[in-house]
Amino acid sequence: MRSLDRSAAFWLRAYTPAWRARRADEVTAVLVDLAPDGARSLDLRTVLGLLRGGVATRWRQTPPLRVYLPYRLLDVRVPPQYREWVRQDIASPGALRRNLTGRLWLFVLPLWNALASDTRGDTLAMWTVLTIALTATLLCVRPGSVVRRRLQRHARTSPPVVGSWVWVRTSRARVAAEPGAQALVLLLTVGAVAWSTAAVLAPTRLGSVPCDAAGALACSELVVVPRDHTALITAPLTAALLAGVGLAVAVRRRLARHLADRPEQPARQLVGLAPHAGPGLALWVGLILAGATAEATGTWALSLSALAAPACLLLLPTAAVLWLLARTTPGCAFVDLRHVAWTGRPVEVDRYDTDLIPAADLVRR
Amino acid sequence: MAFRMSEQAYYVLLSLAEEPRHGYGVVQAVKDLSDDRVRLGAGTLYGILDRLVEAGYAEASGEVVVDGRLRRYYRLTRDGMAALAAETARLTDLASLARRVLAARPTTRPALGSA
Repeated sequence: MRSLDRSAAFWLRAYTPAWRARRADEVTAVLVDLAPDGARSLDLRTVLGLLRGGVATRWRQTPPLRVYLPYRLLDVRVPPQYREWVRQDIASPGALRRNLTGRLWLFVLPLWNALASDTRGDTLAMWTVLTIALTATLLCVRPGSVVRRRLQRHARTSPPVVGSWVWVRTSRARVAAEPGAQALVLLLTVGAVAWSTAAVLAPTRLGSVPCDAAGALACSELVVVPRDHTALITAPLTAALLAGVGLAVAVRRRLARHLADRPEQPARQLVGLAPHAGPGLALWVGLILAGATAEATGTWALSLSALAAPACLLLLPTAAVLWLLARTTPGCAFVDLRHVAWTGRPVEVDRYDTDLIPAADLVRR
Repeated sequence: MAFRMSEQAYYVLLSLAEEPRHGYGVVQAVKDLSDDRVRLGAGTLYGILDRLVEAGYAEASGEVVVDGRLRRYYRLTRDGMAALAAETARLTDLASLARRVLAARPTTRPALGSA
């Protein structure tokens, strides 16, 4: 590449990446034609013209604040003339960062209020847990599918053309039954063991005691009190486990009835878990163990374990049944297992999904 | 959004009205049409071309590669030709008005009176 081309490429960064993708080659040709013979870089007047043009182009393509802020803060759809801008915003690098930054105020405002109060330590711990849980969840989601869903929400057009991109019909990606059921069994097993142990061992619990507020007819406040006996928790745990076994038997019957004659799925593509699902699941396991340990050692009073342990014990046998069936039913999606288990109805045929691709790729197809 | 017809945009429309041209061809044509008075830089030219294409006044009509460089040709659309005709009529009316005003103007400055 000649030094003049390098200079042009550098100053053309004033324009958006999408604009450069469309125009950079022809603008570079014009810049080279206009430059004096032997020029090694663009002159000041040309540079200023490109900078002004780049800013003007960005300004023209960016929606006004009255459109931008509702989109960024509340995910409101933008008017049709900004579909190309919103496509770039969602599909270009840094989209996740921009999306999360836009929603940050939802977390910052309550956090700011809480930090100014007396419960600063507890609030920080709670927000740390929430942040880790959010990160773990995001890691378990397939990035491509998030982009596709957001594009379908914000950049759907009729006719199906967005700038130099077009909407096309494509296969619907579904997580295969076995890896999906395996992840479910893993989380429920860890939850059942850790939270049940914590529920039994927790030395303290939350209780209400009367208080003496001046002028109040009745007053009570929530305090941490020592545990007196564990029978109150072991009985529900046992009952949940027994109910879970019964539920698993019923689900097993439903699946046996409907999985054998499930329909063909021409619009479906089976995929594994998301690429970063491993670290995401590990974070979830770490969170569950940390929370259970905090309650088992008395750092936190018995609270979450009292609810989460029975819930996990109730669902774990069913998840195990799903996993066993998934291993012996090739070509099945996790969503099929969930649908039949939950509704008792036959497996439904997937409809085709839609995706936005460059028009040039469509021509090559 | 309404198209803002600047003098430079008018010259670009005029140059494309003659024949389809590529970017460098438009710059040269505008330079000739304006007697070397208007010299478009690449930034200004493509800002105008973007706006013309968005408004539906111009469209890409073909590409050729010359010496390894891409030349994309642009041509006026029917709407672009109509916009050019409308702007020309407006300028003609404006010039006629200016001529009438200047013709009616007294040749000698009237006395403003004394204090």
